[in-house]
Amino acid sequence: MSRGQRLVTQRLVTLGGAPAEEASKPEAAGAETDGVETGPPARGRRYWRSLERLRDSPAMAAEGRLPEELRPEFAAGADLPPDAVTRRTVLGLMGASMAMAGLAGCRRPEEAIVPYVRAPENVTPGLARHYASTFPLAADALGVVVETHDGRPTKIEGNPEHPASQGGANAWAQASILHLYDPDRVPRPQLRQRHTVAAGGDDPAVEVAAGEIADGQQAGGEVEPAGGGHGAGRDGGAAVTDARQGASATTWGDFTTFWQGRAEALGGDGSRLAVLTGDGASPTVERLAGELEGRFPGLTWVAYDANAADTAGSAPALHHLDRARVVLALDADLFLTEPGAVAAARGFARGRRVDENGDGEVNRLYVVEPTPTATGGSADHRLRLKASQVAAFARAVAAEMGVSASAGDAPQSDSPQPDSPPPETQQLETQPPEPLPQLALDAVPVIAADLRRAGSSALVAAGRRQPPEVHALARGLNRALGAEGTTVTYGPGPRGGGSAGGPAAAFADLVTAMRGGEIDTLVILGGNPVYSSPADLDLAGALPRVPHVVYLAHGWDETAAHADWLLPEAGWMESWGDARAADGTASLVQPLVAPLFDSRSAAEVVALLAAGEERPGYELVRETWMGQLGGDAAWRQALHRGVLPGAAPAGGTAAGSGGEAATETATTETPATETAAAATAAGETAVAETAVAEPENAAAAEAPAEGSSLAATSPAEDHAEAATASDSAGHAAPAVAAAGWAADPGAERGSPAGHQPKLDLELVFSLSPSVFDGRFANVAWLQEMPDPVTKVTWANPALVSPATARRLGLEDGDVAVLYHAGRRVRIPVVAQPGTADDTVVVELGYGRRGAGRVGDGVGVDVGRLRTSAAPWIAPAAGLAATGESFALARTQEHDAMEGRHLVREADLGQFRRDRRFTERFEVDVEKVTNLWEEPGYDGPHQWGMTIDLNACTGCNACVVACQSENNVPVVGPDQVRKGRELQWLRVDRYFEGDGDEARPVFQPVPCMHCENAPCEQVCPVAATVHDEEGLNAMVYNRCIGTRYCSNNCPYKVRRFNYFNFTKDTPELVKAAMNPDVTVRSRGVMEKCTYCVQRINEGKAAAKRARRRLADGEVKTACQQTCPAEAITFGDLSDADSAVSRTKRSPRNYVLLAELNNHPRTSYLARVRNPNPDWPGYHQVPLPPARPAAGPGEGSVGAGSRGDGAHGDGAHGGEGGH
Amino acid sequence: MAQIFSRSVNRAPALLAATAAVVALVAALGVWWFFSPEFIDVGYQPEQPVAFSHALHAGELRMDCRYCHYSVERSPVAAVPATSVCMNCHQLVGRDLESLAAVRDSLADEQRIRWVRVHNIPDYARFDHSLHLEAGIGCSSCHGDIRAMETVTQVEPMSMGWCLECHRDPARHRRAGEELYDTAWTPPEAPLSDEQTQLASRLAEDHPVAPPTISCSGCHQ
Repeated sequence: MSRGQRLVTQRLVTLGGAPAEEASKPEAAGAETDGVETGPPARGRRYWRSLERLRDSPAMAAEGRLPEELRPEFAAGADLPPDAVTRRTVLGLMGASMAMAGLAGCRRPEEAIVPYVRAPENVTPGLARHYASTFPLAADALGVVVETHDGRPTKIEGNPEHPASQGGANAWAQASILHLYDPDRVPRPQLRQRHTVAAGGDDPAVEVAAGEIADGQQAGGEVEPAGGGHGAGRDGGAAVTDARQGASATTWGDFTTFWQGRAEALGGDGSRLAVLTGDGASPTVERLAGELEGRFPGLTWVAYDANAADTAGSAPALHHLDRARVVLALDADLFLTEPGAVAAARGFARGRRVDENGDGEVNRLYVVEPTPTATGGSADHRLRLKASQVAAFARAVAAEMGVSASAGDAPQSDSPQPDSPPPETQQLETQPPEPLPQLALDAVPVIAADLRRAGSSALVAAGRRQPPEVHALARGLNRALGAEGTTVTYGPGPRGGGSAGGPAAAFADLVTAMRGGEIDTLVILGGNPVYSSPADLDLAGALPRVPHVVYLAHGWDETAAHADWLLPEAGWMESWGDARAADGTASLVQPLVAPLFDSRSAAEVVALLAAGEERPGYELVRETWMGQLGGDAAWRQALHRGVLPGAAPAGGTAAGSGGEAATETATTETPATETAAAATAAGETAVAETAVAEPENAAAAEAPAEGSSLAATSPAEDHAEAATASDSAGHAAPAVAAAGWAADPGAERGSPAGHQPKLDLELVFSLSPSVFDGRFANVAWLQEMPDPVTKVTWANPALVSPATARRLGLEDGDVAVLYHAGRRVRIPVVAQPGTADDTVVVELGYGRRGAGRVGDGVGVDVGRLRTSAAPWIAPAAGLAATGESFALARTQEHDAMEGRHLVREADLGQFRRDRRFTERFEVDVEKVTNLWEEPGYDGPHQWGMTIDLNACTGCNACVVACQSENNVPVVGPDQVRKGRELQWLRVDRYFEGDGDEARPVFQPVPCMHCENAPCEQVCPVAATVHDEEGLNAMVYNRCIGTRYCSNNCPYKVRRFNYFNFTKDTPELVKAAMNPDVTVRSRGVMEKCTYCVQRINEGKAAAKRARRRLADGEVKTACQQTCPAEAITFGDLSDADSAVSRTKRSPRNYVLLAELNNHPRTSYLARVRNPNPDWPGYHQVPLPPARPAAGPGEGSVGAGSRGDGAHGDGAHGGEGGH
Repeated sequence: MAQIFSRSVNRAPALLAATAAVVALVAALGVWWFFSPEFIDVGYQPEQPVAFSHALHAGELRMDCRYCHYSVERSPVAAVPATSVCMNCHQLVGRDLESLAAVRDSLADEQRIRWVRVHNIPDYARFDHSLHLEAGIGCSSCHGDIRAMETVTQVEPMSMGWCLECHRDPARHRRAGEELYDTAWTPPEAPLSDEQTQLASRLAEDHPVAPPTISCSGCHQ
């Protein structure tokens, strides 16, 4: 620790010290929940960052802070010299560069200006253009506006006119820029001699399974625990799934010829043709599917997304949180991973505006969930409950309200029967059903009463991983409440189910048909089903039995390894298309750039299949919509606005196709039969073994479903081509990979019984808030984006509750073996406060093998534990410690601010009694006399920002938006471990409450732009200085890298380039850079600039138009994308500006006001709206009111010194203390 | 044994040191002064792929600057014209000129012409043509008398100091109307005429050289 740093720390201690004599809150776990009043904490709520900090420090418990020795101000390693480069090398380089500096300076490099040959109309060089388009994501879509510079897309914003976006966007939309410029995309069509299996013959799959086992053993386990990111963590199996192997480039013309031949061979009926699509939300593709069916009436068309909610065929519910007063979320991550999350977060935040609506109603959110999510953090009451118990909880609420489960089943009558659950669940229920915990039982009547009070403004939402029963209960409750039509409407029913049991059953049928040799040609339109479909169906094992597999792929992914025709898919930014949002709003996808590769869109491929010749996507999309639009003018208008007029179906209870529970059908298709270690014997055909494995010895079992389905396979007729294909040398790859799912090397090795854990945990899968279902695994921004709650980057640890971790003897970062359904993976564990006991939560989307240079081998593929019977919530999982540990790249301890009153919260009642409650948290200090001459702020604008903690859901969209806007590099897991992540904006996550019951609280922290900035005072070269408008500017060219500024920054928002992180950026990825922002090099400090480039562009546009810059015209990237409108930015010198208004809010406070820094960024304190009837509820008292703080309003921050330049009444105080 | 070195040599180290110091100082000052943009960049006159003469087009033929550099009034960038703009005239005029072969080929083969940039402001500096015109600063203030140039040459150093010099006192450089595009226009010497002072203050009112003028963030982002 440098001397300067110590001085600063001491200064902070002196200033920030809490009065020690005040009584502290005793360590009584669950004091809040079991209703025992244990004496109020004198300083209000306690917030903590991690269990270590809570546990290891009695001092912190007493004082709310850690003793100094436990408080590294910087993460360990932050002050280490850069490794990989020694000091000697640096000196050598310095010498050389000094010597060459003169030479290089003599003549600058020649630069070319390359104008168009024929300039396109309406393109003005130097000005960015914005186009409306649509970002499709699974069965959802977000209207976006894309910024392009000289024809290349660089930034995504939400489209304010699109109902699903309303101007906001999520992290995935932001990051889809990097998805477009993914250097690991398939560049042109590929043809491969593939190894296919003639049904009934020897089964090479089994042979290669054994081969892979050997590989796996060499690599020391089937799945490395994680994210080495670059090279590390790839196992032996990775090589054999390389989709590039044996593939040779071909052309679309060749494919067309192939298809024409194929179409003839398939005959008029086409019953041996199947099409499998992942995301099924494009009306044009649906229309063309109809055309294709017209040509091949026997066609099997399956639209299957393994991660869609299973509502058993009924229409998905659409939630309108803007109209909701009381919301009960049943394991529903409404604000992040559920469909329509952007609009939901926005609507909910609007119902929370306590300033405008101080005495009116404020909405209330109850969340019942197994592990904390972004939504749980926003909850007024969060109930931690095992995922499998959510159904019982919902039943209890329904019973309390007199609603039967079947009340929600209409419009279709034959809806899920809760009494016939899938076998695995049945197994569980033969054991005595676990009773709901007392807290949950007590909460039921309270919630029911509150819902009833709200009536039609109440909303019950069920999450995607909950079984159909819970969706039906939610529907019934909403109907009983009269909420249908107000807070809930129903979207269009699921599409393309194919068979009666819904998409999952249709998919299972398809796999069975493939296995039976009934499919001759399979066309897969994106979606990477080999990776994402349940492991027990073993799609990879069935694909070699299909003679012709055509795959339209983004990259060389897991499915690509099994296709003989690999066609590059055009992304949404480079092709014409359309998409439907979850709420049914249809909008057009218009390309912003010509395809970067020789690629086609899904619609174009389906059209090619239907017509036998290529047709341009533009015409296809126009054909779909021209009938409705009527004319060219309407078409252009729709393109311009990004929304089709009247395309959203009216809300209502659209009837979905009836059907039985999909899971049930799927289960009957592939029962969880486990053939004991059959596959280990090479060449031996697996026998159909029907013994149902006991959970306890499941780990010793092998290759579920594999044996039975292989044995059932009947010889196929036309496998002549397949036979020739098998001669090729390159064929081994797909076959080996085919066995990859089923083959479990660990099982083959046979763990001694003593090492097997009791399978007494519940396994819960969740979609990743970072990489979604794995499709964004090669997007580095998302990999490095810390998980909202765990703050883990570059990995997907298994989450257990702290109590369960203690029971299992596991600590954060310990690698454990996770057993389920006869398979196992090695995975690092994190003890996550707020997780239900005896539950292990794992994130899908990691452990990719075919994602590309970024995503391969990052994290663990937990999808291989997934079964079609219980795809989301599965009983009978076990965790066993291995004694190894894995260094998680986790940001939760980085840049900590030591428990001062950074997050401020009050209950609604407290807020109404004392609207200026934030002042109670201020620290008394002597009036500090400034040693420096204070800069005058006399510019025409005075920029400032407020962040409303009441709205923030911690979703991270702002983090990625900032990264995209400001060319912030990605540093990789090793650097993150050393605390060198570069994101300019971080979202701090604190926990509030005790131990296991903790609730996350989020606080985004950008640069505060202090008026009296500590960083400026210590820079020896004036590389960080202020401008007249209050921006704390960073001059990269002056910076010599002393890092004093970062040392002296109390908010820890400065980031240092330890390496030249952009040096090796592939040429293609460079196109994603914002040309308006300097790309920084090594040795330079950087930080949030308040998006100075946007300020300058806004001013320039106003000047060109000869008007004054209007309020709201300049939006920072974080502000613009925030789904919850939590961030307000603008001109403080304009008393009517939005930011001035929010600064006048009584909730306004700044961080560390006692340091006399006068930050321009301030926060609006959170006001929770708890239900006083909640079991065990007691109001956490606020700190005592402070004596009158003088004539001022007590707020500090921008303009607070009342110097007249831009002060107004609210800002007139003398700093407030 | 005789002394190898005479007594006078005793002074040599001191002399050498002094000389070295002087040489170093001169070298440092020389580098500082002569390696500045004023000497390095002024006079830069690269050879262009097409021998385009501003003296002929803008000077003799009196073509308006904005015919080719069409975006100068509404964009930060003054566009370099597309080949099709050249061919607007040259499909009628000088159709067989040898010197125009590259332009004709460009259009025929859809090959872009790679012009060599003369006036180069670093990427980390923001410069906006349209705002300068708006504020009454014309072409010649930065580009000199282009209409007299056969081959475009850099005449101003385009260094930060040079930018700031004008930004601190723009009054004598302000002009209006057609004078903006008169490349022969030179700023009046001090003291300014009443007329110029009035014009400058009127423009300054409409288009103040808004702060940040001295702050980094005005131009660097």
